[in-house]
Amino acid sequence: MDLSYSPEAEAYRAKVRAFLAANLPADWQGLGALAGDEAEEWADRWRDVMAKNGFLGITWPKEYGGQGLTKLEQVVLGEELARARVPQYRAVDTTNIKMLGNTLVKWGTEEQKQKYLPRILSGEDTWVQGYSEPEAGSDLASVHLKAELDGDEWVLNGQKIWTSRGMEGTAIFLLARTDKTAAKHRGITFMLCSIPTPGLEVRPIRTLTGVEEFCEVFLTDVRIPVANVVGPVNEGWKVANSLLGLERGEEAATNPIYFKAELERVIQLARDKGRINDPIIRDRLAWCHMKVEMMRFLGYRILTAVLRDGALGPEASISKLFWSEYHQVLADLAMELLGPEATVREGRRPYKHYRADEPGAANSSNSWIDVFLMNARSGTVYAGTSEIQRNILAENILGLPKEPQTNS
Amino acid sequence: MMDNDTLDMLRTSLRHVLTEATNVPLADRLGELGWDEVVADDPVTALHTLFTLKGDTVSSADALGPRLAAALADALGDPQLTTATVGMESPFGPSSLTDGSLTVDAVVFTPPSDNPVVVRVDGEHLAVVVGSALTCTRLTTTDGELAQFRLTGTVPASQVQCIEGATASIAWSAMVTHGRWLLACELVGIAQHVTDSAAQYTGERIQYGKPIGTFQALQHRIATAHVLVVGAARLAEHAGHSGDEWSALVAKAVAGQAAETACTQAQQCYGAIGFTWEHEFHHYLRRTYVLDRLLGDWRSLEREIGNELMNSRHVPKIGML
Repeated sequence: MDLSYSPEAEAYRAKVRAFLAANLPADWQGLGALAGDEAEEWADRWRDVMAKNGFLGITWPKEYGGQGLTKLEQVVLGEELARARVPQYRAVDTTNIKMLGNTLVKWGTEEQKQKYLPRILSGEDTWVQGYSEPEAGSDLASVHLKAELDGDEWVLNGQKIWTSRGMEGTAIFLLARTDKTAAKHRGITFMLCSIPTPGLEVRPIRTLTGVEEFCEVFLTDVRIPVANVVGPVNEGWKVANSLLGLERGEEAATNPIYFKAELERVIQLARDKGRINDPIIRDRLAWCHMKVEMMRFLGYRILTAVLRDGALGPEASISKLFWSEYHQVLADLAMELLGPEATVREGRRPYKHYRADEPGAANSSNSWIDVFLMNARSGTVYAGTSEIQRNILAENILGLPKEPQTNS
Repeated sequence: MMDNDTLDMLRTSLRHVLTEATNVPLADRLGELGWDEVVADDPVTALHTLFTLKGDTVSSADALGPRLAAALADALGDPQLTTATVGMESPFGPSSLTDGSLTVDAVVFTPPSDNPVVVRVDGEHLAVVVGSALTCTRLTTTDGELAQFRLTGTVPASQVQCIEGATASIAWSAMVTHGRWLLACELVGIAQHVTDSAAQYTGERIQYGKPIGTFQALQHRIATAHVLVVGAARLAEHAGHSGDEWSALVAKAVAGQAAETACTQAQQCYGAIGFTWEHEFHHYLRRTYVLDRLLGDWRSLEREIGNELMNSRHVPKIGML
């Protein structure tokens, strides 16, 4: 584990700090201090400021609108933004920039990179994700979305589900079954499709907190030009997996910062509720603190591996399991501290529906009820359930025999 | 005692009453069943069945309010109070009686009209005031469907009947004991439903070419929930038969924990569908958290149990043990 940053990275840190000092209001508390539409609008505006100043897609080559910087600078940027309590971008940019943008940098043709990457950074295009299907959840490789070649177009029929912020999408990236005869992981192709497109319909799904965060996508004879395939035909699983790896790596540095800020809010809540001297509460707060510290050092290990080898080490699977299960305990504790207040909804609701609520958020019952019901509880399901993470750890890292019932 | 056939018929009728779409108050619909006679004949079985089914069907009808009033009226020997609305602890602050006036802050499930409202003041006395003297506001709740109202207002002492001292404490404790037992039954109903439903879902949901219920990781989750549910159900039954304070306290604590555990385990089995409005699960999850917080959440009750054990220096008996 090597925690030292290069002089170049430290110089970049100074640049980020100067940018933040010049562009953030002096009394900035965090996105959590803003309510509802105000937070959405602020995040949209902030994203434009980030784009105009060259702080989006910084590891992308300069010819496509990036800055040609390394993953180390990306980590530094993430750390500084988290410390300054500002988001990197809008919630939907997780699929737009982080997932699709980075995938195109790695797998896209020259034409695709030139066409799409600048439009992603400018905000003209907003890409949403079309991976899961009703019958392909944990078993993602069993995607059924049927794609048949007709001349120079693929014709798609089927359904996608759990598309985050699908209603904001101007385009969707899809995993489709292009070879039914091949082994499960081998007949999948990664494709791009704009929205609207004839035959494609996006419908919101209401979540248990009443928010329309996810969507279902229905495809009936949707025609996609062959030029919209990313990576080789029938190798979409490999393309998608490189992208899921990216989803894990960057979080290593920023998760502990956000979770620490969230724990500080809970400690404040314990004080406000007069429970700070309760030995049971103190014990549980101490437990949470230890977990966040462990998360921090686990993060350093992951970073070291990414920066040294360019690849995720075995800690990446531990990390997802670790923070998601920690977060449920933390949310339980916050609900307990709220006491009878936890039954009545009051105050601002969280801006996003995953991970910790934004820094600067007041300890309103609405913040914690939503974090408890949605953000924390869904964490052990999305992006690979805890069961899947444990299988990976047991079988791929510890080398235990595979579960006999699992076919592959 | 009710025989099994009668009990089955009662269950069918109650399930219908709890799930039919209507605006007619629960008390009136139960009245049509001859409910009062059923309760008079075998109160423990009747109420146990009603509240367990209420949890099972996640019905939002106010069954608890009238039972709290009945328990209080019975304990105080004041039949007029059977029509009372009993104020529960408000998240916004306590009710208090000072310098000639009563300040009310309480939560109820049905808005009072001109019937008496009973609130606990300063953690010891009981104050009775006419409902029309108070302001009633519907709350936006975590549950959403179970109606909860906040009662507020300041009433001159001349319009307040105050019940003080041991009479008040004993009556309130008797009511809390009755309420905890019924809530334990309701929470057990939820926990049973959620566990059974998760077991059914994992038997049907196919991933990797097999029902996900064939994977031990999920089997263990459901088994974990089942163990707690079975234990909680027996304690709730016993609390009904014994009617004593300690049994109700233990039953409510265990039932709250069982329902929470069942929800947590079930939600992981449901995966993403469990986070949607279209699946029934969210009703059970949100109801669990509201019911658990009525008359003491399971963690507070656990602390109460611990304090009692340490102070009395002996372990009270539960049932034959």
